[in-house]
Amino acid sequence: MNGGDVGDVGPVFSALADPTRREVVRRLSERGPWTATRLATVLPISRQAVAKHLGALSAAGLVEAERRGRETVYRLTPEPLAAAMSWMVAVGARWDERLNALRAYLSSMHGGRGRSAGPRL
Amino acid sequence: MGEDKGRVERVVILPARPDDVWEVLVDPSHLGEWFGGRLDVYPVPGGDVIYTGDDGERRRGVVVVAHRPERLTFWWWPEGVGSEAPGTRVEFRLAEAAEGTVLSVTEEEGEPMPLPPRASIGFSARRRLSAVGPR
Repeated sequence: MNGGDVGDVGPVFSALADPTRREVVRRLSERGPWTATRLATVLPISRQAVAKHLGALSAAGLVEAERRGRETVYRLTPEPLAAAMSWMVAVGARWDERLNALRAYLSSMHGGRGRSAGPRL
Repeated sequence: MGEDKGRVERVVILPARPDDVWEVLVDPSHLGEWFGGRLDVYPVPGGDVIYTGDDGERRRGVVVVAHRPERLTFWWWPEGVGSEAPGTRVEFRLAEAAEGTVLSVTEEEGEPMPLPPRASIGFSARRRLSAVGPR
């Protein structure tokens, strides 16, 4: 995996920056698919506000609207979330490796102690 | 940078003074010992960042902030992809501690590239400088 390549995960992080949207995602992951009306009954916001948040989540590819008879239900589509998570895991793992190597390198230079002698340049 | 970005942060305590850690962050011969792949960083605003990974991955970048020995920030992005390719910002922050240095590293998804006012500075100039001057 290309650990430094962000790809298109930005909109996902953006969408999830809002606590209400995170709550919507949580509800949908536990009970989904739900209608906006149903979500509004468990969230402290109006149906219109729920619809707006669902729009933002949909734009990020995190939910999908589906007609069911006269209702529109929203279903969580977590694939972009997985991509965002794997970016963080991959980039984090790279830095863990690098920083472990950096610490080992400095320790070998300094005999493992925080001595003030500088590296030989 | 808000929380609406992909963001990774690590903090480590290193057994060396910030000045020494700084050298290890910017000197190619030291970088080769820990970074993985080859990284060249010219630590002045506008300085080039050139990276070739062990797996052949190539990245280009530019230094935004270089405050020795406290803060080094650069942007980098995959080479060979269109200029609108998403890049990330890498920031090292160093602080002196009883044990040596507290180093924090942050890598996060970028805004559109804020190039520093100075044009990119090539490595040929750096080599000339290092060839004639004291370090």
